Amino acid sequence: MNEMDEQLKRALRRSDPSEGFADRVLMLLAEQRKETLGRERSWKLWPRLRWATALAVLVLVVTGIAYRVRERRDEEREARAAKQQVMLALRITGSKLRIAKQKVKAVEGGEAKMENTL
Amino acid sequence: MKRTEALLVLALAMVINASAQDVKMPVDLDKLTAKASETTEVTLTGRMLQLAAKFMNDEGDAEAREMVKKLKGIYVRSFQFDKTGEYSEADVESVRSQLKSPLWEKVVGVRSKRDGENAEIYFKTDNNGTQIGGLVIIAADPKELTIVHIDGPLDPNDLDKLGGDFGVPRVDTSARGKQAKAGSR
Amino acid sequence: MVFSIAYRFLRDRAVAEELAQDVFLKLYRELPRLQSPEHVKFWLRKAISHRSMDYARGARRRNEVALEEVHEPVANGSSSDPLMEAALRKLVASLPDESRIVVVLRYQEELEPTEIAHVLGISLGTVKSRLHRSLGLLRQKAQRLIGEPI
Repeated sequence: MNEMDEQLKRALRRSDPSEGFADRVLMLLAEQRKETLGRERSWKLWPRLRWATALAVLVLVVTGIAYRVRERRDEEREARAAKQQVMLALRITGSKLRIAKQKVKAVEGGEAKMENTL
Repeated sequence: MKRTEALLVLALAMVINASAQDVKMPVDLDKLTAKASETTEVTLTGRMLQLAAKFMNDEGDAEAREMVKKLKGIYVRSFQFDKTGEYSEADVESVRSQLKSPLWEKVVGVRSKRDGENAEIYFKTDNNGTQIGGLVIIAADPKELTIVHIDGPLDPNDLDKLGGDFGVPRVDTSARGKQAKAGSR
Repeated sequence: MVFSIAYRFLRDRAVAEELAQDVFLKLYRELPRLQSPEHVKFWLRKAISHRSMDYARGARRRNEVALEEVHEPVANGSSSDPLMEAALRKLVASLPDESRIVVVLRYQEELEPTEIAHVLGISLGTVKSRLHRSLGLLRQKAQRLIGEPI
């Protein structure tokens, strides 16, 4: 990285929030859970609403399944592309390792200079 | 609920600084794309690597799949040029300078004055010093510059076993012992 | 990470904490959908980036101005030029929103351009061109400030 990159990395290094931030978030989450549980109890007092909502949920589930099938197809396409990239990377890696190995052998034959790695 | 709580604790832990990838492909390298007759760029991390591994089910994929599953990232930048002098030593140094930490060890460094081809291989040791935590290859030829960074645990046997279809040769990891200076012609 | 992205983008600690809090509350509801720690990290970066940009757009409409940055304590050995760093942070803050978020994700989170493209839902070419333009602008402005090339 050049100097500008290094300076930007230092200037934009991560900063922590104020003390107790994580505790405050966990407290808010605990309150949110209490509210959700409260709503679930009052839910039992509304049968008609339950049926309508159950129907809505069924529609969502069916739509969700269709969405997941489409998502799965997209995922397969993405995965195939990723696999091709992996194979390409491994082929390039292999080729360069092979060349390096040949050069090391050439050093032993005195054709090239091997650096002292100490 | 336990799994979601575990993930939430992890997420909150991310509020605190966490370490990032230790060797970066400098953004400046991208400018070489304009000068190159051919560019190959691969950047695969986390989710994409896992996805790729899931679909590596063809015959002969097994060993590569087991290796890829453990990796954190694969990064390749390869530029081929029509003429010499299209990239500078500074371009290579921007990567090399990141390998000067004690974690990285240069195991192979070969310069050929005859054809100007240079090859360097670096291994990163993991905490225990028992595994290779990463691999960087810098292949700098007059008309080609290739940088490979494989981030993640690599068993020397992984490199040894990957041959055949992937063309990754059996690497003699005892090359680490070869540190003698030889004369050049 | 979450707070820090918002803070570096908006330069307002109080707002950054508020947005980070919102994102964590939303995360709790989303958790059953998320598959792995990597997915959680990706979701968090995406959520806070978009929330921060939405907030910045709204703040401009409300004519709000961020509080001046509070002096940051320097960790041992981590800052060689605090004045330059402060100046760079101000310069980054002067970038347009779409470029600023790319710079923050690149230099704070050290994401690759492809990862940034994925988080923000934009093309890789767009990320690269915003990065190049931003770096060029930052270099120019920094040079004017200190009078020597960077």
